[in-house]
Order: sequence, then structure tokens, then C-alpha cells
Amino acid sequence: LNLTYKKKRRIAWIVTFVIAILSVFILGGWKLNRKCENVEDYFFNGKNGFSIANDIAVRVECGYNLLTVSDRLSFDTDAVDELRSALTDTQNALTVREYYKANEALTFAFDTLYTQISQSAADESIKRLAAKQADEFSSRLKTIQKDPYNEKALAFNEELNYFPANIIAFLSGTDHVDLFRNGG
Amino acid sequence: LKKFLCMVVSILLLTCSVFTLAVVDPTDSFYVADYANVLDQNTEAYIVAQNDILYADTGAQICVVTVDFTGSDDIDDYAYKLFNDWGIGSAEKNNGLLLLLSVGADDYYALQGSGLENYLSSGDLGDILYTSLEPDFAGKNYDAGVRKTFDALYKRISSIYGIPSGQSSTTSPPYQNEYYYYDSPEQYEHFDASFSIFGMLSGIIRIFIILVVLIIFISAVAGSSTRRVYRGFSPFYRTYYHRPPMHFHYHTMHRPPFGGPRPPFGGSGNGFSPRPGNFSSHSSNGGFSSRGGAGRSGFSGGRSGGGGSSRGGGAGRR
Repeated sequence: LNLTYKKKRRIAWIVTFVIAILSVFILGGWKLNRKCENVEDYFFNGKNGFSIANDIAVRVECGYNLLTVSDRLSFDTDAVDELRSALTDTQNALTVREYYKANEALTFAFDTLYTQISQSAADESIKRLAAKQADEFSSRLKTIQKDPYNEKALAFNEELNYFPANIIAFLSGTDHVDLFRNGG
Repeated sequence: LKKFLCMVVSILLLTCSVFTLAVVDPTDSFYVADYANVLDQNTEAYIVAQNDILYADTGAQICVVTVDFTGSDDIDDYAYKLFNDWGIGSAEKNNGLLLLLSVGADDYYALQGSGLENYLSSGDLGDILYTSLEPDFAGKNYDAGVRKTFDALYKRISSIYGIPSGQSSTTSPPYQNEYYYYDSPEQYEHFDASFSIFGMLSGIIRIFIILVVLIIFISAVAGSSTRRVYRGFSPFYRTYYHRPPMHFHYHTMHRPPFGGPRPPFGGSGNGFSPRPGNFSSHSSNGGFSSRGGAGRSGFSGGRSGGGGSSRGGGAGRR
């Protein structure tokens, strides 16, 4: 009798332990996934609607506005095509990494066309229209540079490096989030 | 020795960072700080008086700061630090505005609070600077340039709030229920309501898992331990081993707020919309929407910043 009792008790403890461990990992994995989603969500929705994605959206608007200026000046240069292509790429970006790359290309293409327009436009009002777009465009880049997304992403990635988050992340398939910078 | 070196290095780093972060202090009048000594006293008094009216009506503040140089910081970074250190504008509406002149560097910068971004874009701000400040600034008539720019900015902010510039309004301005708030309690109430279903679901699932574990644990342990122990001679008298009661603490996980009210420009998600070739102005995307009260963090004694913050956009010299 005693032997059976001891055996049963041991099995019960083992089962309990296994279930406890599993629930820790399941709950932990679930929590970690949600944290990861929240960090990524911050990139797109940010705080009170202010986010990097929205700032980039405004930059895209500025880009199209600059194209309109170039149309008015009958500009037909490679810079126009490059900006148009950069705008399309930015609009098609889905991940943080894609956004970063597209934003870099957009900055370059916008600056190139803006320089050409400001140098060649004779009409002061056209110049001012272009300058206004350039102001907004560069202002949004400064805002992006001060956005706390990267800090949040770094903090999350750092957390993933330590126990037990690293084990939980491994089991639940949670990965590091991309940073909005060169190399992700 | 290692510890000592670490301490010394830490102190040095800390000191360096403190020096790097330093911006000029606000003056007693708060609205104007002429450290470069280029403004007339009348202009300073005018800026203060006009700001008193503006702040009383809207919670907005327009600060004018002149410095000789901005040290190791670029003018935009310096303006950003100064804005947030001083807390220009209302904390709830973030509707402050800063005009910074770095006379020694022959540069200037204007920065708006995040609550004004969609009504006074950096493009608009750049335009105002270009027309009102640039001609006088280039001619080193700083006082005249600042006055003209201040008037232009004042007029613009007044028009945003629907107040005739230069006049005090006694009626409630339309911004009172605007939704561009940072950290206002109402906002979190809104988020809580939106995501209470998520919270409830997650809570139910967690309780369910915990209950399952608990039941398995109790049944397994009780099955083996609640055996009969006979005392004395009576076969009907029995006792059980008792386990201490188990206490479970359940913590609900609140989903952090996200996806709140959006600025007018972006639409949802990534916020891209197909664009025709025409111009669009970011500052003309509809009116204010309603939420919450005005909440003037007020003057108790001297003037001070309302606690507003900026995201660091702004416009500078073209």
C-alpha cells in the first residue's frame, strides 16, 4: 500500500511540475508575443496617433507635392523618376526594415529634386511652394529621429537576451523586433 | 583601484552629459528670454502682455528666446531640448510655440508643440519665418524681425482657436474638446473602454488555465493523500490529512493603450493614401474634434510653462 501511495504521489508531483512549467512557458510566450506586437504596433500607431509611419506618410505627401511643383515647371529629369519610384516603394513598405530603406531612398530622391527645382525655378512663388514642402519634409525626419520607437525596440530586444525570456522566446518563436535604423 | 576608476569615469560621463543637455533657464517673464540682448524692452513687454492674453484664452504660449550660440547642439536639437525642458504650452494640448534665435550662429528656428503640428505644420512655420523674420534677420534688425514674427505666429494661433487676435475671448474656444492630448486621463478612459474586451478575454483564458492546473494538482495530490487513517477500534471513525488552503493571486494584464485617435493626415495603419498630383496642406485637414476639457494649468504666482511638449519637428532658416 505504502509503495503505491508513494508512487502515485511522485507521479502527481511530476505531472504537476510539468503542467506548471508548460503553463509558465505558454503564458510567458503569450505575454512575450503581445509585448512584441505592442512594440511593433508603436511603429505604426505610436502614441496618440503620432508615429514614425505617420510621419513617413506626411513625407510621402510632401514628395508628391514636390512632384506637382516639378510638373508645373515641366521638369523631366531622372530626379523626378527617382522620386516617383521612391514614393511608390515607401507606400509599398510593410515592415520596419522596408520602411527604413524606403525612407532613406525617399530622402535622397526628394533632396535631389528639391535642389534642382530651387536652383532652376525663376518664379519666387514656385520656389516658396517647394521650400514649404522641403521644410515639412525635413521637419518630419527630425521628428522621426527623436521618436522613442528604437528605444522601445532595443529594450525589448535586450529583454529577449536574458533568462527566462530567451528560453520562452525560443519556444514560442518570438523574435527580435527590427530597429528603424541602418541594418535593422 | 578598478572601482575607483569606474567611479571617476562614471562621474566624468555624467558631468559631460549634464553639460551637453544644458539649455538656458527661463526668465521670470517666461515668454521672452533675451540672452543675446538684441530685443528692445518694449518688444519684450509686448510679447509678455500678448502671451498673457493668449494663454488665458487658449493655454497656448509663444516663447521667444535669443542666445548667442547653442554650444555643441544643432539649433533644432537645442530648440527641442529647450521646449521640453521649459514645458511650453498647455500640458494637455501641447500647444506651445518656440522661436529661437542664435544670433552668433546667424540662425533661427521655430518649433511647435505636438498638439499644433496638424494645424500649424512645419511648412507653414517655415513660410512665416521666411516672410516675417528673414528680411529683418538678414539685415540684423533682430528686434523688428522678432516682433513681426511674433505677431504672425500670434495671429495664426489665434485663428486656429477662432479668437480674434489681440482680443481676449470670454467664450469657450472650439479647442476645448480637442483630442490631441498627451497623457490626459480621458484618453486612457477611452482606451480602456475600447480594449476592455481584450482584457476580459485574456483574463478569462488565464483564469481557465490556472483553474485547470489547480484542479489537476488538487485531484492528483488529494487522490493520493486523502486516505483513511483509522484511530482506535472504531472502523467508522476516520480522519483526513488536511492541506493548507491555497491562495492564488490573479493579476489582470492590462493591454497598453495603442491605436488611439489619429491625426487628420494619415488615415489608418500606415496611413498612405493614393495621391493625385494636386497640392495638399497638412494644416488644413479639417477642424478640431471634441474630447475633454481645456485644463489650464495656471499661474500660481509667476509665469511658467504649462508642461507642453514637442516632438522635435519645426522649421529653420532656409
